[in-house]
Amino acid sequence: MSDERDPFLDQAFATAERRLDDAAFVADVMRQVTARSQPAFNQPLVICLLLAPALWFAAQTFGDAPLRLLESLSRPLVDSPVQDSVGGSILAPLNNLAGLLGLGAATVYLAYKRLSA
Amino acid sequence: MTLTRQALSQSPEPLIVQLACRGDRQAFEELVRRHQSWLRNLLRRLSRDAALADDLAQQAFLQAWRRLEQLQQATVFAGWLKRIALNVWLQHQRRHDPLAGSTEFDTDLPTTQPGHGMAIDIDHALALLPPPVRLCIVLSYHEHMSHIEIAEAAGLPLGTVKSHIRRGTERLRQLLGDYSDAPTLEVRP
Repeated sequence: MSDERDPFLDQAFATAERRLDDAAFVADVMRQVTARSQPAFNQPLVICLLLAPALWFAAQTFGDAPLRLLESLSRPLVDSPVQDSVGGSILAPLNNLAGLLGLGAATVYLAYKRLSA
Repeated sequence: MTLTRQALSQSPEPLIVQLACRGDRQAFEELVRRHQSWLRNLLRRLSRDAALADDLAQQAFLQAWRRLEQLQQATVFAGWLKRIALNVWLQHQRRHDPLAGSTEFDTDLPTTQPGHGMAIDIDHALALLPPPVRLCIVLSYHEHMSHIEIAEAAGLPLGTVKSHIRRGTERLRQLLGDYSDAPTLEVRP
């Protein structure tokens, strides 16, 4: 089929074309254009400004929290004389809270895999 | 430079577009006034109801206002606006019409009885076409676009556009059948 159009439909479309009243429509569009042209309330900036003092206070209080957390995770759980031996060095990664948590997570994961298989 | 409303109404479109591009709201209002009827008619042919079509036309004008800076040539404003309107309609279709991509025709549909007025009847008949077919038919008969232009605008392969137009034309002729027997086509307000 070429780009030729059906004459009946061509006439039908031409006949159906009506000039639509513009007053209310134009007013509606321009009302929205004006509303969007107003200086926008910069929400993210305001939130940041309000949060800044709270973050500053939190930073003061919890500034050294990551260090303390690391320290407590790596502190040996059991003090024993074998710690300095070769066996103690091998077991050292497990002799702290981080190692214990890791071991626990691995156990839960393996149990889950076994049960869901 | 600011022109009065009367001066704007008599000014050539490229000048008005340039003024609107610089943020002149009165110039943009003149553009809305000039193009609103054509754009609303286009969207009425594409959509199933007039209120929705007006809503989509409003969205198209607002997007145009926001993106006016991107318009490279003032002389191509109407085509640029049409692309925005088609995108608005396509996005609406994808979001709200689960059958947006369907090209299946409904069967056993009654033909249109002349008497409601051609504008209403043609909108009614168009609403019974699957959206992609309707889009191709409207761009061909309402916008007088070539098949290649329709393929570009609708993002469809040329063969598909030709097929949609052929099938859509046949279906519309069936649906508007009683008008083809009438001696002349008349419009009722």
